[in-house]
Amino acid sequence: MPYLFKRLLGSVPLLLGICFLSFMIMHLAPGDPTLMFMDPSVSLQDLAQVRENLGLDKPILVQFALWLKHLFQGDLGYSFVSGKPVIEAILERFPATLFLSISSLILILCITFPLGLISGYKKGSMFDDCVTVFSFIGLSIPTFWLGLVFILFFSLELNWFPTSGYLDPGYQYSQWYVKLSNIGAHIFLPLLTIIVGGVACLTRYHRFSIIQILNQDYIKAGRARGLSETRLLFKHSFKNAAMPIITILGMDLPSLIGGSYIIEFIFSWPGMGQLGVASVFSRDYPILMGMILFSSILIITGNLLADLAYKWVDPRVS
Amino acid sequence: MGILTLEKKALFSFLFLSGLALLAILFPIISSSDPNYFDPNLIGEPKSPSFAHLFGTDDLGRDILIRCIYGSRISLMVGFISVGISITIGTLVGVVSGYAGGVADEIIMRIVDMFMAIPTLFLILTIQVMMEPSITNVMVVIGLTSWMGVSRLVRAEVLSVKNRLFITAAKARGISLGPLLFKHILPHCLNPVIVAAMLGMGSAILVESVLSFLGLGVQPPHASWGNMLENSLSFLRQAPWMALIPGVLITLTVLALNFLGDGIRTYFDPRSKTSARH
Repeated sequence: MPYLFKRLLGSVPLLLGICFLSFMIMHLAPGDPTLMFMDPSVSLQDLAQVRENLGLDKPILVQFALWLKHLFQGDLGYSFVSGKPVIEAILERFPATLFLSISSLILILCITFPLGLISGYKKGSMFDDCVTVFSFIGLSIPTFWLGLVFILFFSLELNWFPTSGYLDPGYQYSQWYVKLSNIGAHIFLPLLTIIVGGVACLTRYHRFSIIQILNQDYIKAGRARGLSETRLLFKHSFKNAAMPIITILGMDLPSLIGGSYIIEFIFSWPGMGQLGVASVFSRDYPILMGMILFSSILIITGNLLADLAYKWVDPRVS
Repeated sequence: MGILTLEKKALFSFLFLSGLALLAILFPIISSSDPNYFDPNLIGEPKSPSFAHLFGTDDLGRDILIRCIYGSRISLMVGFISVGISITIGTLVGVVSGYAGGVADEIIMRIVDMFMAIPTLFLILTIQVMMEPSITNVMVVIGLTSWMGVSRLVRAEVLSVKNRLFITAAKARGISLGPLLFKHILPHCLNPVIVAAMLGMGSAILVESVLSFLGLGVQPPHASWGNMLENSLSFLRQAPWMALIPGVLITLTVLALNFLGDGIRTYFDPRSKTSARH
């Protein structure tokens, strides 16, 4: 427990730093947010009033201090565009994002483990070659383009899945299983798009660690003692080989999150990503700050969980 | 490895990339085709590939093949320059942090951690919206947000080199700090940097395509693979080749960079032959 406490304490300055950095970058960049959503015919005087109301006329450090003060009071401000509280706007989008990312994570792991295991065990086989080439291609494809190709092929050509959205209108009050199958049809393509990239990335690492572990002496000793290959693989190698995957999952979380934002945008999945990209276009500072903060918390939590899982898998790590 | 050995993959990738680079550099010199030239007869509706236009034409009657070649100039340039920026920053930070050690190292590494915990793509999108979208901005922003990995690699190498005997010998000869860092330590740290440069170019090209696709990168009428994809969105059903061709080109280029990076890594460190990891 003291370990956990120390880590939690350590992430506070990290978060503060991230807030400061993103706040500075956004406020120092040229471009006036008030001009984006004001009628061009509004007088300069009114515009100055709006800027004053929003606190944009104060020195930047004062603005940051005020923002921090409100943050500690649990108030992230209001969206410039919709007028909603930032926390509310983000939290109402969060379940859809969580749903998409957790289901993709589970599927990625379910596919990666057997794929990497077989590929590493049968190193140099035809199967292994195919897996390696697939993972290289999966890493090189622009995910948003893959999403487009899936829409083109599965939705427009074959008409198997809807192109976008979460739930068709009219299904709101249907039986739960009808509703579920409708959501399932909507989530299929975004899920597939995210999985391709994730599996491609993780399989390479998993294959490598399986190969390394199978070369170790304790495996040879086990084999000499006459343990079955399945026992060697699943009982003696599997857990050890999972360790690098945990680290990489923690490390690659930022890109996984960033990538799924674009996917959400392409498929109009009503999650944080779509909100984020929309706020980028409308220069909605408070929402963007909230998004960056929220995503950073997710990433830091992910790293922390990865460390804890690491300790759990390998008790030698102190 | 089976039929396609690592060496062969790296060789094919090298040939593909050099071909692409040659075409990108020489094409505008040897050919007078204008990427923005449009055939007045073809305007209004995209035409599928034919002998006259191998990759077809887009909605404005412009030849997609020629636009793709001009787009490759953008992608390769973005790859080179943004990686140049990130490698320079990353190497400097890594050398200083690794050599200084102690408190300075601790502080620098915490700052690196901080940069790494920010969702980079999101940050880049935000910055791009604030600034006038242009090719220069795209390159600078990608470079400034992707140096952290390199700095960690270099720092680790410096740590392993700085206590070796030849460094102690150089110090005993009274060498000053600059030459010590850049003539004696740095050359021993460059192998992983070269590999990181290859992989980094791949991801820079991917990021550029996302930005241009969202209309935040290279602006029309300039051709880039990303903004050709953006343009293709309105004709997805009618003219799928407009979406497929630039995407395939991006994939092939990034794939070649990844294969080449992997090949170079194996060359430097044959033990990693089984690995294909970064």
